[in-house]
Amino acid sequence: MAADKETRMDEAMPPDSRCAVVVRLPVPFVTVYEQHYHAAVRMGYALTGDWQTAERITQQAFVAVHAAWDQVGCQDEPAHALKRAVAERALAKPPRAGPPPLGRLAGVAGGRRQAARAALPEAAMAQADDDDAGFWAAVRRLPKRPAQVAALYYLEGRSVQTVAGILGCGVSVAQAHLDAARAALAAELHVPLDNDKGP
Amino acid sequence: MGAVTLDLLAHRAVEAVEQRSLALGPIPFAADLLAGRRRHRRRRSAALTVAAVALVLVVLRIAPLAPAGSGEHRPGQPDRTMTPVVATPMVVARIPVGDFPASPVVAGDSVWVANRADATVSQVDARSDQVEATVAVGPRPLAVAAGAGAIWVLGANGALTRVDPATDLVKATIPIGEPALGTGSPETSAAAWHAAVAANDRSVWVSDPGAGELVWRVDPGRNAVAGAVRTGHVPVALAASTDAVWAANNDGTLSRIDARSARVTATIRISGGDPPHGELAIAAGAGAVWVSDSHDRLLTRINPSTERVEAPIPLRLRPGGVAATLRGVWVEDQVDGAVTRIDPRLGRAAAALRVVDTPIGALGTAGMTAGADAVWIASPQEGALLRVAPGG
Repeated sequence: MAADKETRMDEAMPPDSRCAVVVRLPVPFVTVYEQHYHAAVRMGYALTGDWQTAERITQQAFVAVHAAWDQVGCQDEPAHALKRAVAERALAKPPRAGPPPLGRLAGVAGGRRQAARAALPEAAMAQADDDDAGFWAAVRRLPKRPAQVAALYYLEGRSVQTVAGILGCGVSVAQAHLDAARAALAAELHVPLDNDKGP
Repeated sequence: MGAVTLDLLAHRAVEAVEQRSLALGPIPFAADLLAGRRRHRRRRSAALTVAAVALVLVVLRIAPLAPAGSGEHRPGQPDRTMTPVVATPMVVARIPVGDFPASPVVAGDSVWVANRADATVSQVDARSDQVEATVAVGPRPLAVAAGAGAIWVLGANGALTRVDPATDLVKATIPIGEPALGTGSPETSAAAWHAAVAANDRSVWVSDPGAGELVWRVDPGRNAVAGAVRTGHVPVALAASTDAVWAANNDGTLSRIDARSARVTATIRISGGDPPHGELAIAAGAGAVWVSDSHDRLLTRINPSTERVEAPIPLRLRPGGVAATLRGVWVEDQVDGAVTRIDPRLGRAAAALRVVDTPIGALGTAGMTAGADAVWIASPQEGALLRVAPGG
């Protein structure tokens, strides 16, 4: 029934106790949208090799999470659901019929680069180099889960916990996928692994 | 020279992607993006829309125009834009205001709306649909209330700004609580977006979701905080009537605060579900207090005399703002960019009107209010205040 309580200014709760209150309110969709759009597109590009495709799947992912924003917006990290949706769409079966044979890889990757360049202004094309092409192409040749883990690991600040949170799996599972992905990438790119597992 | 390692390659690859992404340009407007998925539905309903417009035009030719304010036409006033009497609701004016308008409120013959991105509030003449004044207030004005002879603007910096509606001058800036509203960045925190303000003749009331369970009371005579009332957990929406203030809390309760004693006199459970709840909106009017919950998709009517919940009305939409009129309760649909009039007697929708092409929820709750014979909706996408003729 009645709470019958009033607190005067000088009786208000001390700052420490006020800060301890856990507020569970839906984050405004537009806030997450503005903060994470470009990061989501970058991840989409890393996993598809095409900027236009990356933007398309990012927008599809935003539409999908918006439909469930009542739940997503109240999560600790609403952006995780978005990035998970992008990662899933990027490697969904219909647009990508499985890893191409290695012999055709150069041609396919070259075609994707051309498509990406066509979508970029001249200034950006001039800056674009092949540093990323070989690495991300190798990531895309990995099986689905290790590819997602590797892309997220390097794009999200090298935190396995963050990767696990985004993909909704355990940290040990994410770590196992990451170890396998890094070993495969090192072998394919003919470079040694190092011990730098994060900042 | 160090050897090239996998992590070094990865570092370069990440940098290259970030560099390239800079050339992507500005992100598309969220509302446009979300509107795309309903394009086919709009085409399907185009014929119906044309038919409805034709019907409205016929009605307009038959029915004489009635002035706003129940026919009190004042001689000497400029030619006013009157709210037409129409059979079905329609948008009769789109009034450009500032950037990202939200939280409109009716005060006499004016409608005030916060322009969140402009750090201003606009005063719109409800008779002429013209912007009469634009007043600079604190950064990120979140919510507006009218009462005690003033307009009260709550900013994301935690300050309450008092604007004199007669002179359009800022008369006072009152810091509310410590720390500032919300946790984290005031521009992005959910708590800041859910802060609310309401006013009656005695006091101004400010909810502070960042503080957990407090509604601050401001004395308009001293322009100072007079106290704080503990409510349910996280009050996110406020509505004031003459003798009471109602706080909808995120724990599924509604607190009634007596306006005279500034004490909670009743705590009413309006939702049986576990928190967190969706967005709550509240309106007092038409003899009741109305609370919409976007999570449960319910419109709940509370009888202020008995302080009891009457039959909740299930909604087929995801409610945002709510406004009560004598002809029904208007609810924003966050998903569909439409407003719907709920007939409480029938317990279902009586009329619906698409007011914007985009989901209202894509931009957060822009807010709506009722008064001066119209329903007023803030449209952030257009930077406009929409005047809706409510229909018969």
